[in-house]
Amino acid sequence: MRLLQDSIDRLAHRGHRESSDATREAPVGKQRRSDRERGAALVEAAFVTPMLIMLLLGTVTSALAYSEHTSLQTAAREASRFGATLPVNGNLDGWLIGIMDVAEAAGGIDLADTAPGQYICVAYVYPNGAAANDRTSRRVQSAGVTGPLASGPTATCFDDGRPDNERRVQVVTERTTTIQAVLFAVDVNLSTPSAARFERGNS
Amino acid sequence: MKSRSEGGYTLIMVAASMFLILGGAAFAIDLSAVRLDRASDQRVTDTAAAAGAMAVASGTGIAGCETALGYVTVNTPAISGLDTAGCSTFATSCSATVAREYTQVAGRFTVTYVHPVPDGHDLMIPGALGSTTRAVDAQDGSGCERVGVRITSVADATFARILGANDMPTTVHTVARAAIGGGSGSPVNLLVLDRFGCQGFLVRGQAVVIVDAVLNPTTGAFEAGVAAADSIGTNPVCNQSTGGVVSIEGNNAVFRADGPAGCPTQTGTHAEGALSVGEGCGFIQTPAAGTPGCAGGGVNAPACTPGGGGSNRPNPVPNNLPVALTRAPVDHRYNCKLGYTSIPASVAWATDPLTVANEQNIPACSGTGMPHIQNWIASIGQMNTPIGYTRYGSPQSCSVGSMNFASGNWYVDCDTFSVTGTVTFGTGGSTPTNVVFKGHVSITSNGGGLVVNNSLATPGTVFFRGQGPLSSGSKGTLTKGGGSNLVFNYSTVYMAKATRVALAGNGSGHLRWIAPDSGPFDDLALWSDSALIQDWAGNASLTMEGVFFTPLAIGQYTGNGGLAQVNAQWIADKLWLGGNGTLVIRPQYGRAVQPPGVPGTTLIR
Repeated sequence: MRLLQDSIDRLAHRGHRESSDATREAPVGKQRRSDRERGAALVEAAFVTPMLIMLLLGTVTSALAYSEHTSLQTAAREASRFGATLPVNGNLDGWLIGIMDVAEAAGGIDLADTAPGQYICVAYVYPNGAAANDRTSRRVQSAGVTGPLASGPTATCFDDGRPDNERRVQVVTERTTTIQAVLFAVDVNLSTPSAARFERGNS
Repeated sequence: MKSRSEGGYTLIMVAASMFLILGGAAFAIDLSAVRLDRASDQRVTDTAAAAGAMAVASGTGIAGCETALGYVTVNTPAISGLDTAGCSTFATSCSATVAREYTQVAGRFTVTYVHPVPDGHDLMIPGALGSTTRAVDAQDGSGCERVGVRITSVADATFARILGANDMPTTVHTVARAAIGGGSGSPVNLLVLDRFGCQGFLVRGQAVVIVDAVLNPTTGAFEAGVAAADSIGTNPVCNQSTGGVVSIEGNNAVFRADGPAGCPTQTGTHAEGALSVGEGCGFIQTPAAGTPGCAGGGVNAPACTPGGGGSNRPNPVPNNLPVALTRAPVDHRYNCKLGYTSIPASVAWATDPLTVANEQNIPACSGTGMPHIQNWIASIGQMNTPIGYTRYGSPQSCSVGSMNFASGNWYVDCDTFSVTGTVTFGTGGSTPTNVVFKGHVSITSNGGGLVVNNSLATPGTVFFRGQGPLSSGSKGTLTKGGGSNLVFNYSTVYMAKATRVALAGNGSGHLRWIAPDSGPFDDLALWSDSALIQDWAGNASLTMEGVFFTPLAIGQYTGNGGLAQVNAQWIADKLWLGGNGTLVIRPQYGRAVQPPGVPGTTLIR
């Protein structure tokens, strides 16, 4: 705080000092601080400035992480609701890929293939479905690489606790982000699950 | 040159500016956070309301509440769970004008589920920022079809506290409409309800059956004619021997659905008025495996088996019906009861529509005076003379030549009421005529017939009791000879369990059967609870308007060589069409039950 006060003082008196210096010699110890005081301020500034920068950088990177989390959440929810309104039309795999594309597009740069820890999971969840195009199935993309189609009771993206007779869409979007604070950095895994019930059909 | 005292001003100005700048920035940061919260909550309410409405459309009021709150929990990581015990509030019947709400608090969130959402409820005011109030219209449905979810979240201000704002609440809501009809709006010309059997549509002989395009009076354009069969063709497994779900057996039979011209499946065009109709541009649909089928005259059972000729295959080839369409919309419109239970697709279809457990689940009833059919049966189905009716019967003769009955309510207490001349009930004036026949009705007169006269402004009813509601066999057959006439003007006909129609068409007689155009049975020409085959025939003059509903019976139509066009929507267990005439089925757009079937939701607020 003293550093801040010094700065304000300097700003407040600079013009006056410059005009005074031009007309008369200022009494030592009144118009100018002593060398000892100036040194103390410098030392204090040396301590406080890195902390301020750490605080600032931490705040900025935390805000960026929050922004990325919001993007991921938006992507997951947009994709799941899109899927809930999109008929499967006998092409379940194409449907899963389509939902994944929507998630990736909605996530933008925050969910791009090159984003660290990028992961998208899309699942068609219908445990009661028996036909090939009407049973629980999942596609996963990791670091931009899409894996094979998986089907079966466990081929979900997460456990949402919903009943077996409810046809629904699950989407999970993930990435990692780093909160920087000059002297240290923390990697945080951002994961946003979303589920939406089908908005057409008998179940 | 500044005086020394001016230096204090700068300090004050800097301090004040810093306060304002930092305060503004703090408020902006917190406001941004609230806006993000709001957007996030809005997506949650959208998903939850849509899921809740789906549950209401295909389940119960309790399920709607539990489902909506379940999806709030799934999509809000900060909420570990919401107590759904209070959802039992929604077990009782829904009244469209009385809102029911259930609120749960979890951390900083307050979640409220609302069902029904009446017209004047505050949730019907759009909640989006910058949106304006929208009046409730037909697209919003009734209050009982609406499900609302509201979330209020209170965020602790981080920076704006320096301006005295400690809490920053935000409230969002969504209202979804549960739609049992799927919302396409176009009527289905023909619908057969049998869920598993073969020969849902059977076209024999040299019959030419045209499922015609339907003119939408609002748009002035044609919409596709639709013939839909709910059967999956598995009991028995349908093949060439048994016939497919869509079975064309006559070598020269034609089964064609038309629609707006210019479709890819078009095989020809013809003009109807100033518009062009595409032949083969309609839809023939079934959920059975093997669709599309019968292309090029080939067999694709169980969905489709063609006859032997080149032009007899269905046109267009049947396409896939994603789900069974069901009788639900007809029940919903005319006989909506409380306590419907859900029927999964795997369960055998209804055998007795008067048994609640066998009826298709539909949303809670909101119509005035529902259920109309059940109430009507209850008031008429007794064995003695219904209250308010005048009895006609022994010692009066049950074999009648020509006779006029005045307008009013008549109970014909005859095991068989024979018409050998012309018998007329009512004058079609301002007094409605309602007739109850106890048993058979036989019309044998050449040139004469039976007439029940009601008017457009004052519709009436005809009730065939078949000796009583518990009768079995055939105890209430309506028989008409080829040279006889049968007229039901603006009358709804109910046929009980042991009744059937057997209308011959091999003479000069005419059939005129027109549904009411107002009242609780608006557009309903026939409701039959009989499982006996209903025989119709192409009469010399044929006028049929409205909905003919025989959900348990096979409807059989035999053409007589001429061209017959009916403005009817036929919904039956199966439809068998034969003879050597041409039958054009073209329901009037506003005189048919909307396409049934697929429950769905629409976000409306």
